[in-house]
Amino acid sequence: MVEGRIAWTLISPAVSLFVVLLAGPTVAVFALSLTDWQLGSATMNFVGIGNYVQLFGDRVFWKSFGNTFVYCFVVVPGSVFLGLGLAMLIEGVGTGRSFYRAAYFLPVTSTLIAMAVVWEFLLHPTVGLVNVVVEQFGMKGGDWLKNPDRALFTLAGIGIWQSVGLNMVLFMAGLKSIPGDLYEAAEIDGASSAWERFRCVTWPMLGPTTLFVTVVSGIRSFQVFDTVEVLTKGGPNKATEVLLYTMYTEAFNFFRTGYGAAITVVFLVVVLALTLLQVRVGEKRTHYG
Amino acid sequence: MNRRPLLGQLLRHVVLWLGLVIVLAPFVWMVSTSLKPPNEIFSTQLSLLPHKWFAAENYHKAFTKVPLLRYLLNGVIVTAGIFALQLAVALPCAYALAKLRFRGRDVLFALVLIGLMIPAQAPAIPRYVMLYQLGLLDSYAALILPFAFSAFGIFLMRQFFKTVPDDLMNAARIDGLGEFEILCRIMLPLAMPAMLAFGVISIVTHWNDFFWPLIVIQTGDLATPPLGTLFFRNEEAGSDFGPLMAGTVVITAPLVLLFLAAQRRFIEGVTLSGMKG
Amino acid sequence: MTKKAGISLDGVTKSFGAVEVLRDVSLDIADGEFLTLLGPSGCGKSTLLRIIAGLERNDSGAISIGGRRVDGLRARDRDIAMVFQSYALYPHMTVAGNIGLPLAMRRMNAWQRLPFIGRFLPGTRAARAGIAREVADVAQSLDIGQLLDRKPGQLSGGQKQRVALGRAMVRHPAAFLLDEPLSNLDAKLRVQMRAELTELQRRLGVTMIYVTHDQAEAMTMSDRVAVMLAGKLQQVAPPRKLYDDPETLAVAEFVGSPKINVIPVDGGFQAVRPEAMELVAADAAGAMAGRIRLVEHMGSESLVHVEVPGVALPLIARLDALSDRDPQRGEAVGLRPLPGRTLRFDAKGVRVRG
Ligand SMILES: Nc1ncnc2c1ncn2[C@@H]1O[C@H](COP(=O)(O)OP(=O)(O)OP(=O)(O)O)[C@@H](O)[C@H]1O
Ligand SMILES: [Mg+2]
Repeated sequence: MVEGRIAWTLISPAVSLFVVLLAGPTVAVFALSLTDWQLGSATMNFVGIGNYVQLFGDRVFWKSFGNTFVYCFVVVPGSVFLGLGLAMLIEGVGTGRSFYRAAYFLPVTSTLIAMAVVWEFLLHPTVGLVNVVVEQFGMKGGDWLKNPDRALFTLAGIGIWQSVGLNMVLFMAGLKSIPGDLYEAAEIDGASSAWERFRCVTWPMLGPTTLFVTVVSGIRSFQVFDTVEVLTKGGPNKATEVLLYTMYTEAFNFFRTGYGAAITVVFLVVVLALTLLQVRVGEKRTHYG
Repeated sequence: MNRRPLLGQLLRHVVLWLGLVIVLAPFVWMVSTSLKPPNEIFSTQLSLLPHKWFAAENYHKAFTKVPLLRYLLNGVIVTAGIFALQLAVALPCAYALAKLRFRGRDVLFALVLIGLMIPAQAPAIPRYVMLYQLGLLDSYAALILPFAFSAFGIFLMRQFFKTVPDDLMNAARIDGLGEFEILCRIMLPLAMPAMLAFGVISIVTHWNDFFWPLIVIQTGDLATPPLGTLFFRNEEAGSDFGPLMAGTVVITAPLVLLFLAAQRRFIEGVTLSGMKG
Repeated sequence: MTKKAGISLDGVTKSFGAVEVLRDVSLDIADGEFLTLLGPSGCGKSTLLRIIAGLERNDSGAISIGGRRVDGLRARDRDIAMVFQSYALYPHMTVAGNIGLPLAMRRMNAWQRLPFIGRFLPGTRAARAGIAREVADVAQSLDIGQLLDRKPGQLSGGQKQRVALGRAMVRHPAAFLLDEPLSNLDAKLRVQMRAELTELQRRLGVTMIYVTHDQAEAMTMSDRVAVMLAGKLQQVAPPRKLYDDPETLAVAEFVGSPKINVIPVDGGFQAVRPEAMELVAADAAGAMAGRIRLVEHMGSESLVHVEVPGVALPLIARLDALSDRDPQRGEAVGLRPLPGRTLRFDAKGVRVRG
C-alpha cells in the first residue's frame, strides 16, 4: 500500500534513532549491570547479580538512597504547598497577575548551575548575604553547606526555590479549570468564608491536579544532581550523597561501568514506578475534566 | 472584580512581595555583587548599589579569565543543533503517526509513550561507551547527537497534528498538492505554535543541561554555559566573587532575556513539559 | 469554457475491515445533472463521495468521469472539485490565497511556487496576475469580492461557505462534489444558500453530486435523488416520484415528514401518506376506528395522531387549517385512505403494484 510506504519513509529516521539512542542504551544498561566491565578494560565477565549484591551490601549506597528520599520528602511537600499557595494568592489579585507569575517563574528557566554558584556565594559562612541578614537579627548563621546535619536541607531549600514556580503555573492551570459558578453555588449553600470556599470547592476540585503535581515533583527531585555536584560533591561525609551522584562518580570518575549500570537500573526502576503512578493519576485527571 | 475587599487585596500584595524578595534575592544580589569592588563585597554593610562602581573591572576580568563568549556560542550551537535535528526527525514521524494509516502505527505510538517515561540519565552509560568507541567524546557531536530523538517532540507534534481536520488535507489533495507539499505548505505553517512550544522546552532543557556535558566534555573550549560556569568557579577557587558573579550574570542573561521577551510562550511550553514529567 | 461530464459508477463496493460500507453501488449521472445522495447518518454517503473524488479507494467496481475511467487516478487528476462540510479552508491563507491555490498548483511549477524565491523566476508574475484576476472574478460572482484579504477565521459561516464554493469553481472542474455543505449554517441562511446553490448549478451547467441527510434540501434542489440506506442504493428518481411512487417501504418511510403511516396487513404492509388519510366518523364505511391521542396545531395544518387497535404506532392524519373540523383529544374517530392513494408492499418491504 502506497500510504504505508510513505509512512514508513517518514518514520524510519525516528525509529532507527529510537533504537540506537534510547531503547538500545536502556536495554544495554540492564545488560551491563550484570557484568564487571570497566570502561577501557579488555575483559568483560558475566557476574550475574554480583553488582547488585555488592550494591545492597554497600553502606554508601544505602546512605545515598536514603538521602535522595529525604531530599524528595522535603522538596515535594515544600514546593507543592508553596506552589499552591502562590497560585491561589496570584489568582486572587486584581492587578499584576502576569508580573507575579513571571517573577516567581524566573528560577525555573534560569541556568541552575549558574544560580548554584550564586547560592554558594549567598551561603558563604562569613560574607554571604544569608548569614549577614541572619546575624542582623542577632542569630548565628553557621555554615550551610559544610555542616553535615544541614547540608542536605540546604540543597533541598535550593530545590524548592527552583521548582516552586513550575508547580505554581501547573496549579494556576488547574484553578482556571474550576467553573466559577461552583463558588457561587457554594456561597449560596452557606460557605461564606474564604477558608470554607477553599475546603468545599478549591481543594476537592484541585485534588487530581495536586496528586499529579506531587508525582511530577517527586520525579523531578529524585533526579537531583546539579546542585550536589557543584556545591557539596556529596559531602560533607556523604551527607549529600544522592543516587545520581553516586552513579556518576562510580561510572564516570572510577569507570566502574558495570557497577554504575546497576545503580542506574535502581534509579530507573524508581523513576519508572513514579511515572507509572503519574500515568494512573493522569488518567484519573482526564476523567475529572 | 469589585467584590474583592480592599484589605484582602492589600494583604495579598504584601505577602506576594515578601515572597518575591526571597525568590528574586539571588538574581538581585548576583547583579549587585557583579558591580562592586572586593572591599564592598566583603563588607557586612548591606547595600544594593556599589559606592564605587567596579562593573567594568569585574566584567572585563570575567571575559578575559575564561572564554565566556565561547561558552555562550557553544550553547547556541548545541541547542540550535539539537533542536534542528529533533525537528527534522520528529516532524515527519509525528505527521505519519497522526495522519497516515499503516500497519504498526499503534505499536510505534506506544513506543513513543514508553520513551517519554525514560529519564535522560538512564541511557547515559551506554551512550558514553558508544561515543567512546566512535572516538567522538569531547566534541560537538557528543553534545548534540544523543538528543536527536525526542519522544516528547514526537508526542507533542503528533497531538497537534491530530487536531488538524482530515478534510483540510483532503481539500489540499483535491486542490492538487502532493503529500510532501501538504506537509510543507499546510501542516507546518499551522504547526508553528506547537513547534515554538517544543522549541522553548528543547532550548531550556539543553541550554541548562549539566549532567551530559559534564560527562562527555573535557576541553574548556567545548564547554556549554553551565559547564563553563563550573570551570570558571573552579578557576577562581571561589573567592574572587565580583568577576564570578559577573560571569554568572552573563551566563544566565540569554535565557532570562528570552524568557522576559516571550513570557507566555515560555510558561506554556515549560508547563507542557511539566505535564510530561 | 465549462466542460460537462457525466459520472458513472458500476458495482462499487467498499469495506472498512469487516464492515461493509458500500454494497454494489451502480449509478449513472448525466451531464449537468444535479443529483442528491440522501440517506441517514452513517449509511455511507460520504464514503461514496470520497471514492468518486479519489480520496478513498473502492474495493471493486468501476468509476468513470466524462467517459474516462478514473479508478486508478489520484484526486488531483480527476478534474473534480469538492466542498466539505467543515469548508476545510486553509486557516493560514487569505481568502484570495485559498481560492487561488488550486490554480497555482496547476499553472505554476514547483520552483515558481516557492515562497519569495519563486517571485523572481520567469513567468511567475504573469501567472500570478492571471490567477489574481480569475480569483477576483469568481469572488465577485459569489459576492465576496470585498473579503479577499481576510483570513478564514475572520469570516462568518455563510462567507466561509462561499469561499469554499469559490475555491471549487475557480478551475472549472468537470464535476462538483458537495458533502453536506449547508449543515453548519443557521436555518435561515440554509434556505437562502439552497436557492443560491441551485441557481449556481444551473448557471454553470456543471454536474453536481450533493450529499445530505436533509430531505428538504434533497427535494427542493435536485434533478434526481438517490436514496441510500445501509450502504445500498434503494432508489434513484426525481423528488416528486420518490415521494409519490417509492420502490420500497424503507424509501417510503425515509422520505416525507411526518412519516408515512404503515399498517400491517396479511402478507405485507399498506402505507398511506398523512395528507392522504381522511378523518371521518368512527362508524363510516371502510374506516379504521380509533381514538385521538394528540392534536398538533402547526398553523397551516394540524396533525392528528390517532390510536388504532392492532397498529403499534399512532396513525397520523394531516388536516388542512381551512378544514372546519375541530378534533379533540380523546374523541373517537375513523381513518380512511383516499381512494387510489394506498401503497402496497410485500412482507420484505418491496412494492406490490397493481
Ligand atoms: N476510515 C474509516 N474506517 C472505518 N470505518 C469507517 C471509516 N470511514 C467511515 N467508516 C464507517 O463507514 C460508515 C459510513 O460512513 P460515512 O462517513 O460514509 O457515513 P455518512 O453517510 O457520510 O454519514 P454522515 O451523514 O453522518 O456524514 C460508518 O459506519 C462509518 O463508521
Ligand atoms: Mg458524511
